[in-house]
Amino acid sequence: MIYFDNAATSYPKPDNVPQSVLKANLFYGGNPGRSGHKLSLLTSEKIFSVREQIAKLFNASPENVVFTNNCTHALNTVIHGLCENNKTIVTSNLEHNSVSRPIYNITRRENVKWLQVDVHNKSDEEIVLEFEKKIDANCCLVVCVHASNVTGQILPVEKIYNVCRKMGVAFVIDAAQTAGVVPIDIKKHANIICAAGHKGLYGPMGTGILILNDIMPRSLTQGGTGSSSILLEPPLLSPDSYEAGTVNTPGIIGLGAGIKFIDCIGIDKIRRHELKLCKLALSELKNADVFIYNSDYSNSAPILLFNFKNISSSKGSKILSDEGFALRGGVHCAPLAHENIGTLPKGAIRFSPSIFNNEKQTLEFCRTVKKIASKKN
Amino acid sequence: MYKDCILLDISSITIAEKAKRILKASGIHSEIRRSAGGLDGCGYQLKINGDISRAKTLLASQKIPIHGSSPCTEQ
Repeated sequence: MIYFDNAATSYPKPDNVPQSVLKANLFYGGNPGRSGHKLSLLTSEKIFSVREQIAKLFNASPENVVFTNNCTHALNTVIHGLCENNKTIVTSNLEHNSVSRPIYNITRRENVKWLQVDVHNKSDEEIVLEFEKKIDANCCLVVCVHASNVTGQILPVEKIYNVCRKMGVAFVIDAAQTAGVVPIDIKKHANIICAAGHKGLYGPMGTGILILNDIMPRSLTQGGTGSSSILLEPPLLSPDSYEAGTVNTPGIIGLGAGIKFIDCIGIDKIRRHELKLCKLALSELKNADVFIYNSDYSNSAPILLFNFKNISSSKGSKILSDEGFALRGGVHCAPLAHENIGTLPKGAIRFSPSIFNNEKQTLEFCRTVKKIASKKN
Repeated sequence: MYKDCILLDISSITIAEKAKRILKASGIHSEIRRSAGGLDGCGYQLKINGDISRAKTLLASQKIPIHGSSPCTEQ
C-alpha cells in the first residue's frame, strides 16, 4: 500500500522510532518521576532528554514542555483551562473539531460567546484586520489553527499573536499540521502551542505536546504527580500540573527518536519535498476529470484536496484503497473548513505526502485517479 | 560528614533534571535522589559535591527553585 494519509498520522515512521519504542519497553521500564531506584531515575533522565529536544525545536524551556495523549488532549487542556465565564473566545473559521467541539461544549453550558473570523482565502492583512475587530476587552482566549488540515492554508500566527499581545489576550495555536513542517517559535508565534507527536514529528500515535511560555492554564486532570504527595492541592508548576498519572514513556521516547530524525534531515527540506509532491500531483490532476479545491502552494501545508465527479469521497477513497493507495476521504473532523470550500456534507479526498513518499509513487497515484475518474464518468 | 557535599530540596523531577544539566555544563557533578520527607511529602534532592557556593549561584541565576538544603551525612 502506498500511504498518502500523513495529515492523519505519518507512516511509515523512520526506523529509529519503532526501535526506540522497543528499547524503551526493554530498558526504560521504571516509572519516571515516581520511585528513587536506578531504573526510575534512568527513565526520568531519558524523558527529560526528549523534553529538551522539543524545547530546542520550539525555542521553549524544557519544564514548559508537557506531554499529552495527542493534540486534541493538549487543546482541550488549554481551552477548558483558560476559558472564563461571561467572556468571548475567538477562533478562525477553519478550526478542527479538537478546537470547535470543546468550545461548542463550553458555550452550551456556560455563558461564553464564540466568535469566528473568516480567514478562508483571505490575505494576511485582511485576516489580521478581522481578528483585530473581533478581539476586545471581553475576549479571554484566541485559538487558531496554524495550518488547516483540509485546505492547507497557513495562517499568519505571528501577526495574530502581536494583536493578542497588544490586547492582553492569550493566544493558542493548533500546530497539528505544522509541527515538524514549518519552524515554530513559542516566543514569536503564540503563548501556547499544541501539537501532535505522531504527524510531522514522526513519533508514535498516542503522543502530543503542549508547550507553555508565560501563561499557565488550569489543569484538567488531577492525580498523582510523584511530588508534594501529602498535599491534596496538586502542584502548581509545569509540567507536573498537566501530567497527572503515568506518562506514555515508550511513546515519548519514540517521539524523541522522531524528532532526532527530522533534525537530521531538516524541517525546510522535509517541507520542500512534500510540497514538491503536492505540486506534481496538482499538475497531473488539474486536467483530469476531478474537482480540485486548493492550488496555491505559496503559503500552504503539503495537502491536496480533491473529489471525483460522480463518486462520494468515502467511496472514492475506498476505491483508491482497493487500488493500493491510502488516503482519507470525508470531512476530516473539520466541518467548518469544509463548509468554507463548499464540500459539506459530502467531504473530499485528501492527499498528504511525507518525506517517505516520492515522485514515482505520486505519478502512479495520479494515473490511478485519472483511470478511476475516466471509468466513472 | 563531608564538608563539600550538600542536598538541595527540589519539588519536581523535571526541575531536578534541569538543575543537574545546568551544573554538569559548568563541570559540577550532582546526583538526583528521591526524598520522602518534608512537609509536602515526596520530592527530590540534588546531591552536590564540590563547589557548593558556585553551584547555588548557578542554579539561582537560572531561576531553579530550591526549597531547602541539608548537609550530606554519607559518602
